[in-house]
Amino acid sequence: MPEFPFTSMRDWLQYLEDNGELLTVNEQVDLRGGVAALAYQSARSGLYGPESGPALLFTNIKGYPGWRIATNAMYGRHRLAKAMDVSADPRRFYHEVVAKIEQAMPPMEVTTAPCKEIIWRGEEADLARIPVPFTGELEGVPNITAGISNIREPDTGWQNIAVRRFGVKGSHTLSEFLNRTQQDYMIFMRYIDKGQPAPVAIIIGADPVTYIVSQIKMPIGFCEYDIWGGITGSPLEVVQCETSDLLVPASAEVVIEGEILPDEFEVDGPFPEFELYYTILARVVRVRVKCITMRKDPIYYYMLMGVPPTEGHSIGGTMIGVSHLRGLLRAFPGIINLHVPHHQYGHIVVVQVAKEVAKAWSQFAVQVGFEVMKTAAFKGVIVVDEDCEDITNWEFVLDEIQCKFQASKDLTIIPRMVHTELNPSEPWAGKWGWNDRFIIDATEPPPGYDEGYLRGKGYPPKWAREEAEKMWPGLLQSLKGAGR
Amino acid sequence: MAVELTAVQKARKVQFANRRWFDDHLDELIAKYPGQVIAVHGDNVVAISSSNALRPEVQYQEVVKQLEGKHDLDEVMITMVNREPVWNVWFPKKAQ
Repeated sequence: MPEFPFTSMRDWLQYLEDNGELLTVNEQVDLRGGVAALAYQSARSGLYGPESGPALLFTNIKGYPGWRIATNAMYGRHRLAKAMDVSADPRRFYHEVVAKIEQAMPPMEVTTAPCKEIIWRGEEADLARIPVPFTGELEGVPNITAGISNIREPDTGWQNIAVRRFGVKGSHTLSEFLNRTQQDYMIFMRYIDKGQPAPVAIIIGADPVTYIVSQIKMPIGFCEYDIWGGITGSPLEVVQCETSDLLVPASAEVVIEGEILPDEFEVDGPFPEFELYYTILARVVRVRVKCITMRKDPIYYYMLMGVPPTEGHSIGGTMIGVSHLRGLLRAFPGIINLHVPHHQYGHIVVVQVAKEVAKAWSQFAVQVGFEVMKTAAFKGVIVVDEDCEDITNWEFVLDEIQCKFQASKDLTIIPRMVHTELNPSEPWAGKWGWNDRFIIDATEPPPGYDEGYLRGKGYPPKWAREEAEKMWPGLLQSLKGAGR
Repeated sequence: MAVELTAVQKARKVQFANRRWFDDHLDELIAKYPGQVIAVHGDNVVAISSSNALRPEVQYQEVVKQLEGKHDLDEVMITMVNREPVWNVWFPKKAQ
């Protein structure tokens, strides 16, 4: 049975199968909706808990003999935790991942790799030969939703990776939704300055940690492959592409090589994005495909998007939290933990801070809020202190807002900040691509205004609660119907 | 080397051509069918929903019904036309 570290998608799927978390679907599925609908069904079957829906492996794809499609393999925090060998307990998860990131090590280049067992060049590299599923019925052409884009800064050599969405627009043409809030967009700007095409490599079906690290926002100049080494304790094996000097994981299932053209555009959308609604038709960059390499019996990896819960929301939202916590721990004392609700994809974040620090600093919550809102897909932050019993439970978070928040003093609104160009509420902020942000300070107010809190929360006596906790299992035995 | 494609893969290439025609005629289509679901095949709009006031999924069903027995759904490109002009993701002037 494969064990941590899982160095390929195949190893990871085998681990999931051995542990009863992989459902193999041998019935024929149609790319026009069959794959997406079963991914949706599985995601809804258990939400995000330990019993969350199984990963799926489709073995019979209509029109694509020899291919398999996998999905939901990284769905749910417990799977992300297993893939990284950290605790799934939300009180420890983020801290343990951040500690591993600090042990980053560069990848190791190899000369032969499974991802080159099959090589299609020129006309052979026809995207119609890749089983890309549709996600929604109005999509027009299918989109690659789990493609990890690799691009290299032309002067410094910095290689950046991130999951991007690619519309399959022709046999050798993709649209890529790049926008100004992304690091790879900034790199592409350097190629525009030079009037050159930007080489790009799109990985589909990487090992789980490569997907995970591609979702962590790191500072400019930092390659996410280095984090892979920190998380697993060993360097990622990478191999050079056929048509560029980009390095890709040796065990990847499929690698699409091409270049982003500096002066040609494609119409993107409509697509059911992580902002829940179909996107606007938009002119975005065009990718010209030059070569496709893959493993024998390749596995295409699909990630459901649209209305949550989806695997995209689960992995994206969770890992954005890692970036936030790392930034906060470096910036401030008194940071206890944070929580990113899975459905929010990082839009709304709860940060828990030490009361003592919050009361001593002026506008501590506002400063915390500004640190967190460095990402583009962001709506607001709720800052609570240690009085909040469980920041992963909205009822407890709302309790803090009810008792500590006064809108005239504790609500900060930052209007008209840059956003994703995907959220349907943006025009209401003034312009497509804009978004207002908020900070809710639900921490205890400073001395002079805190008398009500110093009287303490209204619990039954502590000694009696401890007694009750001990008695409770026995009392439950006498409950009518117990043991049924 | 000649590449052998399955029927579904060949249909996908037809779909690419349909999408290209849609992109090339987008301004005209937005003026004619804002917010409506349409089907494109062979350089033509071959099905149109009755009204953009209907929910998108209802419009889609109308279009699929019109296509029944006439077109292979693997080949036809079905999508919703924008109500507003195409959005241009921001790029420096040099690239435009």
